[in-house]
Amino acid sequence: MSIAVLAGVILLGGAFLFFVIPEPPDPGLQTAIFVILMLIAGTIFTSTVFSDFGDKKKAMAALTLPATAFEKFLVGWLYSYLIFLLIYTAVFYLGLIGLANAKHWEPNQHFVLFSIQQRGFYTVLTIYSLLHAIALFGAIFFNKLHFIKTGFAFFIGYVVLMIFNTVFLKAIIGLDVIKAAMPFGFLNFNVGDKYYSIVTKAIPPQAILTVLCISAVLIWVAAYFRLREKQV
Amino acid sequence: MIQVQNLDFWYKKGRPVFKNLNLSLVPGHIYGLLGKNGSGKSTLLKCISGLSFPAHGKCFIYGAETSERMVHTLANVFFLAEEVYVPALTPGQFLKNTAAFYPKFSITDFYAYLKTLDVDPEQTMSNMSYGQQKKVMIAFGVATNASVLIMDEPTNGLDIPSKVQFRKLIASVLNDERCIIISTHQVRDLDSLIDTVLILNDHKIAVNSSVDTLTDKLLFGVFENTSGVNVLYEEESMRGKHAIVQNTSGKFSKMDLELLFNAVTSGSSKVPQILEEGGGNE
Repeated sequence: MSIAVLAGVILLGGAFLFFVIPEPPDPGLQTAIFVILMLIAGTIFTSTVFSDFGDKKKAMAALTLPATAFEKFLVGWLYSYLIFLLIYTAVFYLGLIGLANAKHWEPNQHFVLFSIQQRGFYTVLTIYSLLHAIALFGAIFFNKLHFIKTGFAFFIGYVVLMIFNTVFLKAIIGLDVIKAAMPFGFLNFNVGDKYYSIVTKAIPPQAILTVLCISAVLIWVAAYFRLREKQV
Repeated sequence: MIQVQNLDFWYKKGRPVFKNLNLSLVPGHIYGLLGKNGSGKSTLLKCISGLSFPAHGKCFIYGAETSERMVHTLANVFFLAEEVYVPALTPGQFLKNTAAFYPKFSITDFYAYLKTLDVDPEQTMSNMSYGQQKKVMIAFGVATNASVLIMDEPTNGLDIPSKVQFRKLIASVLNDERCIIISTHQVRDLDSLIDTVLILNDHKIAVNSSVDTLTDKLLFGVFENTSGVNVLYEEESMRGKHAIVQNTSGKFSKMDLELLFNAVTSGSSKVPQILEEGGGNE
């Protein structure tokens, strides 16, 4: 059923886009839509995989089923991560190719299909992993309205993280930091009447990705333990 | 087989459900767990089956702590909740999806129990009435051949013929390796089924006695005049005084479970005290 909904969104949304834009969408636009839709659909789907544990009647059946907590967790993880990514990619490509073939292009217009094997592939996968981990934790932590509550908690958490980061930066440089400082982002401050904006190049992007990867793994582990400790 | 050691449990701190509760249950018995509404019957069953974790103390089944939810423990316990969940599958489809998790599951028995309980195996479970859904899950639970069968208010939602079928079925599947615990607040439903009575009162097990011990130590009956006998509890009725008296004469009487329940939960400690004497409370 989820696949049908996904295919419907891709076909309907894609058809609208193909209708509105007179020229074939370039690979950059295709990639952007692919990534945005993947992050949204992936987190929505992930936030439902443990919904049974939020319903008292279903939770009793799920918790007393003779399988380890790890096996139960692994099933949810595999469905929402590996299997979702495979199916999503297949459905997106099928939908895109179908729409591209369905529309009549002018002789001078050529549709070029994007490839997922691009430079930013691992960056996208890392961001998806982190968001997946957060959605998975929310799926087991909350009993209902998983996606909304997880999203709300995520944004509140991000604001709190920015505030702490800003306060921390103020403390270590001893100056008033202008604007909220995002982690790994710019540090803006005034000295006298001069405005400075600093960003470190000492941290390579790989290091940031590594931090995000480690965060994702830690949240997955936390979600597993939350599942283990689930009570009715 | 089942050990509950020094169990403390609360949903809200300062309002304990159990305080230092201890319980030991052995195979070969059908235990009837009785208690007033809110006394913690379901909570105790959930603690035993590992669905809820004690604040202090531990619950064990065959030496394994139930809160660990080990696979071999889960495969040996079937918990039938008061409110059952059934998927939109026929009993046969449900069996295909779930029975494999229980190594001792008997498919033949499952269909036989469905027949006994008068359930259509071809009907989608979610379209069945509540009572029918419950009967499917009772049949499934019994067919798992799990050593511990825990049923929370299993007779709720069953009509009178189904209650009779249920009692017959449960009595027929008891063996020396099986321990069956049934909780209810409708004490008459279990009257003729259970062989050991557990009564929860005031955060602890107030009575844990076999029916034989109860009838050895207590005499149940309607008395016109109770002077000269050690009355432990009595209730006025149209026919006279329904009473529980100390059985000093060795006479036999049929246990009146409802009267016993009222005696224990009324706050009087006379009955538990008599049962305590000589180790009647196990």
